[in-house]
Amino acid sequence: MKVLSLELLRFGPFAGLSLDFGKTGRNFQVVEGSNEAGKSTALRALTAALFGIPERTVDGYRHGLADLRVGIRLIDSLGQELYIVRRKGRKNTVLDRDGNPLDDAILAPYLRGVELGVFEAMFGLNHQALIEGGKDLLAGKGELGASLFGAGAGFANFHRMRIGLRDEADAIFSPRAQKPPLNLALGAFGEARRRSTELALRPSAYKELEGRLSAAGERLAGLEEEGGKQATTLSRLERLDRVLPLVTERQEVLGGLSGLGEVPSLPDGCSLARVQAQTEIGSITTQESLLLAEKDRLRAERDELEVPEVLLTRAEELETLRDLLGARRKALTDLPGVRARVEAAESDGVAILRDLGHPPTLAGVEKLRIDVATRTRLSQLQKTYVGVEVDGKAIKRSILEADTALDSLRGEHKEIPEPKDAGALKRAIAHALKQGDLEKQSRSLGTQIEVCQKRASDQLSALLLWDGSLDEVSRLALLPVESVDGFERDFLALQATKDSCEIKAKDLDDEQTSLKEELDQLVAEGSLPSDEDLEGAREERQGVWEVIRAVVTDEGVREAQSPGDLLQAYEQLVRRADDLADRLRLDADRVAGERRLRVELGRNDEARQRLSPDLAELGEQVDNLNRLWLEAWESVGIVPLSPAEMRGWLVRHEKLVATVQALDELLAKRAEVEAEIEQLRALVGGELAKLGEPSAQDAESLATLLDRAAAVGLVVDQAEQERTRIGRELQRSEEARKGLEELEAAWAREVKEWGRAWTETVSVLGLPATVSPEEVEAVLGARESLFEKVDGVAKERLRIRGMEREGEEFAGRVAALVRECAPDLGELPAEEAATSLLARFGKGQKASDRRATIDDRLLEIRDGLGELNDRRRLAEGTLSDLVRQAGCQAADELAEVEERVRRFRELTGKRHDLERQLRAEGPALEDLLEQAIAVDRDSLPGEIVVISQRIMDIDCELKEAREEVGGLKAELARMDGSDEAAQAALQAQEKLSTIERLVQDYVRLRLAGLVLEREIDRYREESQGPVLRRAGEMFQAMTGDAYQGLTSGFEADDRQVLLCRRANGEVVGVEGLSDGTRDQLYLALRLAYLDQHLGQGEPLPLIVDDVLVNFDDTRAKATLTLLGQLAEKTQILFFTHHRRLVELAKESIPAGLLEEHDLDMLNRAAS
Amino acid sequence: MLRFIHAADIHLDSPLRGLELYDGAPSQELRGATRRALSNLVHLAVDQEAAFVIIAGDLYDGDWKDYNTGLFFVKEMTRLREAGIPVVIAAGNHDAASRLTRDLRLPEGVKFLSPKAPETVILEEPGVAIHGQSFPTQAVTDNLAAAYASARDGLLNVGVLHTALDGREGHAPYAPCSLSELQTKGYDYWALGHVHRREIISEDPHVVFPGNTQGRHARELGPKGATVVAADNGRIVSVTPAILDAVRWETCHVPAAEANSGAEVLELVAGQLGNLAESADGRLLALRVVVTGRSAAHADFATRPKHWENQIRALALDSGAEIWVEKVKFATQTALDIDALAERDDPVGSLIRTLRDLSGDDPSLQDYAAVFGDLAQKLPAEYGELEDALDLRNPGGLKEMLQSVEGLLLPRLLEGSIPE
Repeated sequence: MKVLSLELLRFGPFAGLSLDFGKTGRNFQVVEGSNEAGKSTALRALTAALFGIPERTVDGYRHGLADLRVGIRLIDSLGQELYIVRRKGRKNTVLDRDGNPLDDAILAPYLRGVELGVFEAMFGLNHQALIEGGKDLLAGKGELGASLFGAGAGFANFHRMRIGLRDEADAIFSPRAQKPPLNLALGAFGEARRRSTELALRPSAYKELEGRLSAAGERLAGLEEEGGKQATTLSRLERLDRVLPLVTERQEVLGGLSGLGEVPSLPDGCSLARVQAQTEIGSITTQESLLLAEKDRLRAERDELEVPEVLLTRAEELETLRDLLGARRKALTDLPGVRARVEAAESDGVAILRDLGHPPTLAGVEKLRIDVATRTRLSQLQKTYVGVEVDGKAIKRSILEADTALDSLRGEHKEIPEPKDAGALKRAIAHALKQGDLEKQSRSLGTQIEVCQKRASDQLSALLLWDGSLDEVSRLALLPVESVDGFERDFLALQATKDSCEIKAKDLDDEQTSLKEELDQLVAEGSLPSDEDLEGAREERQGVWEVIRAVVTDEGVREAQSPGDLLQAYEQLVRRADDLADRLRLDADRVAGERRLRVELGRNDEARQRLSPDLAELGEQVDNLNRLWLEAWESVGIVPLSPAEMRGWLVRHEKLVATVQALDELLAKRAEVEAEIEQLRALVGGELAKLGEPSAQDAESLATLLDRAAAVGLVVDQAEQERTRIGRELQRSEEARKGLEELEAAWAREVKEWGRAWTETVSVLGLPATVSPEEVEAVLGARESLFEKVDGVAKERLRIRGMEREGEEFAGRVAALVRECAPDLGELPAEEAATSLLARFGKGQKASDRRATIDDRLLEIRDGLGELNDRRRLAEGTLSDLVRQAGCQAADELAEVEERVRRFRELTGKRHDLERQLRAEGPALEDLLEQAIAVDRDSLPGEIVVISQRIMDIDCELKEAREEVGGLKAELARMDGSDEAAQAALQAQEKLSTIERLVQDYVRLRLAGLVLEREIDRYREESQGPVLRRAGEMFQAMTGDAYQGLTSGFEADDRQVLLCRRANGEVVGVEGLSDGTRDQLYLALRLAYLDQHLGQGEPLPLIVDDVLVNFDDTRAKATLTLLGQLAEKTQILFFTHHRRLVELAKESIPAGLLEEHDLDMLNRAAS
Repeated sequence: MLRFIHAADIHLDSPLRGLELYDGAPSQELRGATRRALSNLVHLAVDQEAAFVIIAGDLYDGDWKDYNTGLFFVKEMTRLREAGIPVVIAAGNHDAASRLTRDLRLPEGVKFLSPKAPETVILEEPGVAIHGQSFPTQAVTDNLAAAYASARDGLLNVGVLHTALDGREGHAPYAPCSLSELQTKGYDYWALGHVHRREIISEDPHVVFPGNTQGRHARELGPKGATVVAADNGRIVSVTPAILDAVRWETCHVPAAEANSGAEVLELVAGQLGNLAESADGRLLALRVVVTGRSAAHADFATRPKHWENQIRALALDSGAEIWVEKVKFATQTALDIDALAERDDPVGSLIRTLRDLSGDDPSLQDYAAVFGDLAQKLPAEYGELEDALDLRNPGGLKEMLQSVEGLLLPRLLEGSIPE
């Protein structure tokens, strides 16, 4: 199969790039392209066309994935051609020329089952594959079979893959290892299975356990029963052991009771009652004697007491006298002091009188006493005086202050200037503000104008070909765009026609040259006989033959020539004609080639001749159109460029016109704004002038002017406000001043009224009207002191008189009492007599009290004696009762009887106690006593020890039996249907699944390795001879005879390896080669394989992509020569970036085999 | 209205097979699946107020000896006794082989039918006659049904039989008999066991295989359980399946012909996971993924099968459902035209031919088998029973692998890729 053409219809950056490999039918197609020219894209397009555009392609960036199209034309060895277009997609990706889908199978006869992977491996040869191949040779240590096989098939990583198969398998399982997963899984499976078996509960085990439990249960029950019996026996014996002492004691008590004989029944506490009665009688006798002695002593004391009955009858009077005597003694002490104070006060009063200017005597002093009314009035007037005086002062001060303030306000009022009217100014400002910030507008417009001017100027200078001013721009009479488009169409149409003619001409010229070269080469290879030559030779031969025939038949005259010469000549001519015929037959190809070349040359020349007039005419048409084009622009003085460029020029011109118009509009707008500003300045300036302010200044902006006007308006307003304020304040102050004056008049009237009242009142005191309130106050004070003294003296005198009267009454009372009760005291002064009398009275009172006390006590003693007598009788009654009950004669026998009764009771209590204890043991008392009697006391303790020991043994056995039963029960309970064994079985299954998978993986990998090795061996056996020999030759050629060929040998481990023979006979393994040489060895193996196999079956083109970049020129040339030889057998598409390699290819490969394609040139042509 | 439950093939404590443990596999959910199915059966009977329960054989797994299994069964049966529901069991081939059947003391109300002769159990209260016989030995080749008693008048007649009828694929032909034979017996319902797939053989009278209660491996797919039978006036009125399984087995078939890569196949798998998980209704889903078809993705699977298997497992983990990916089978074929390649005179063609020749070359395969001797020796006997077990000692076993060897070698050779 060959590729006739590859068309990158829409692929990568290309649209319509076509590589025509079929034009000459040469087998070595060189595609050269600099970087970026699209060499790699073309390579991808080739595989895409054959095998489909990959799902993830990098070539869809320009046309979009759906629109990608690659066309390819193929021819098979039988001459069948096929053209398909490949689109990207999953189905129906093979299309015919018109885009109709074709069956993918249509490619099968051309590809013969080769898929992309196979194609790339076996028919693709590139730099990277070479390097990988070299590395793989090294990795495989040059093992012969594998090296031949890997390189032959183009499996770049072949050896590493082989190793990978083995390593992967070893990583899964190794017969003698532990860690690989299959070994682990096998171990884990066995473990899980063992665990499952261990955990499984055997039915027999369960039943045995049940049996053991039942036996243990029975033993436990038996032990429990025996234990119960033994415990009962032990308890009986222990009881007997406990009760035996009690029984003995009980018999002793019973003996004691019978020894007491008959015992009277005495009530409880009879002994106590007896002792109490006897003690009572003793105590009563003692108390009686004490009481009788006290009675005698009291009677004697009473008889000796003296009681003055007369005094005691006057007790009330005497008590009053005691009180009076105290008061009398105090009065006698106080009286001298009172008298002295009276005298002093009188003396003070006289002194005051003297101070007031009155006679120094107290007689007649009462007329000086001031009545309360006068006193009150004076006090009132004094107070009023103070108020009036204060008010007067305040009023005067206020008037003074008001006057000062008034003066000041009036001054201020006078200073405020006359008012002005700012109304008009304010209206003017408001009007101006309403127009907005005109100056800003103006500035903004200025900026826009500048920008616009700049743009216009730039656009103007960018508008080449024309050098008028901006003003003229709009007025230019230019060609309409439609006309330019018309020109352009005409130009393009003409140019296209002309280009196509020229290309055709050039192709023809090239073809001509090439045909001539080919012809020359043919000719140079040796002269070729022509049919004419043969014809001539035959004719000549025929001529001689005719002569010979004539001679032989004697038809002709013997000429000068002898028959021998004739025959020799004829022989020569026959040989020559035969020679010519042979040569014509042998060189038929060359002859036919020459013939074809000459025909083609003739045909070419004809075609070329036909083209010349067309080209001339097209030239004229172009000139004509050019002239018309220039004329169209002449009127505006422009020498135009191409229509396309001039269309751009027109667009730029139009933009410039638009800019100029915009500029004009901006300028007009700014003038308008500035006129308005001036108008406003005049208006506001005029109003300012009216208010006496300077009108608008030249340098003053409208904004500044408006600020100043606003400030002026503000000043005028403030002045008006101040004036109003001061006027209002002045008015208020004047009104206040008037009020003060009225107050002052009222005050004057008050002062006058007070003076009249004052004169009137002081005259009552005998004081002149001129006297001041302070003076009056002093006089009044002195008179008050005077009357305090006078009134004090009068009071003390009354007291002295009272004391004297009380003394007299006291003496009279004492005298009367003395007369009646103690005449012997009649001579004593009243106070002394009273004292003695009261002393006597006190003593008498005490004696009377003592007598009454004694009388009370005597009565008590009488009652006590009676009571004692009653008690004695009671106690004696009790004793006689007891004697009767005890059945004895006298009270002193009672104690003995009582002792017998106590003993009886004690023994009886003890008996009851013992019997109670015995009964508490459980069995009936009688049975117990009987058992006690029956028991052998001596053997009892021994029996108890024996039985206790047995019980302890039973307890131990019971504990063991219970533990056993508990343990067995627990064990049975654990056998509760647990699924642990099932779980382990499940885990075993899980491991088994792992084993199943790993065995598959392992066997697959190992088997793959085994099969591969078998195949390698087989291939080695088959190919070792021819391929190794051919590869050796190629390697020798490639290395410029540095190596003399290849051979094989055995390593120490019996591996058969590839060896390279050096020129000096030495052999080296692949490890001994340099990287580059090893790459060449790989290439040699690869090419040798192809060389051997390409002859058979349908060969596919070999795609060689820059494989020689690292080769020096010599080796590259040698390799190219080898490739050239391969090209005899199959088509080789040789892609390269390097011009040098193209040159080398041309030098190394026969010209008739090689065809060049320059991608750069094709690109230029296509665009 | 009378209701009873017909179950069979419980295979109590028989381990689920083929589930390889991997990181993230929901292993806890797997435990005790057959037990849970039995508990579900008991719950169903109590819930439905069943008059009785029939277990038509294979209560246990033949060679399973753990008495705990029997104890668990007794525990569950005790629940039925407490609910007053009698149980009639006909021992099947597995039960006949199981020691548990002989040794276990069953609670009152649980009746194992006699293995010596056909027996009829009369349940007076609901008015039912249950005819049947247990397997006396594991392999019963006699027609047991032939000797079953005639139908009792006035009672609902139910026959219990562990049988493969006249043969069922994948099941030993025990207790053979024909459908017509059963039909002519005059019974109202035939409760069969032994065949693990639910099947209503006949509706007049009803002859029913309820299927097993819990699928145990990848060939026992879909919902599993028992049959709830309702009868009225001595006539069967409805036969309804009741789902009892605790773990569901399903297969996810993924046709990959259209897929261009392993990643695209993953998308196809992901597309199916949701529906499959939903069908399992919250149960653990033991899922086999089978990728088939002549696909461009084949090269991915052939070069890195473990990687893609893990990817599919990761999808299952991410699905949020309890899914155990039991196995991923990459049964895809290469998109390469192998036949055409095989005809080529180049190393690839030669290799393919060698592989093909090998399948007829027993002596060579026998040589290779020797390589696997070490491994074959270490493999446990149980390995031989597995679905994908290889007979490593004989050429036949290796022959099976040749095609997958081809699938492994070609992509590796052609793409030069080496799996990680």
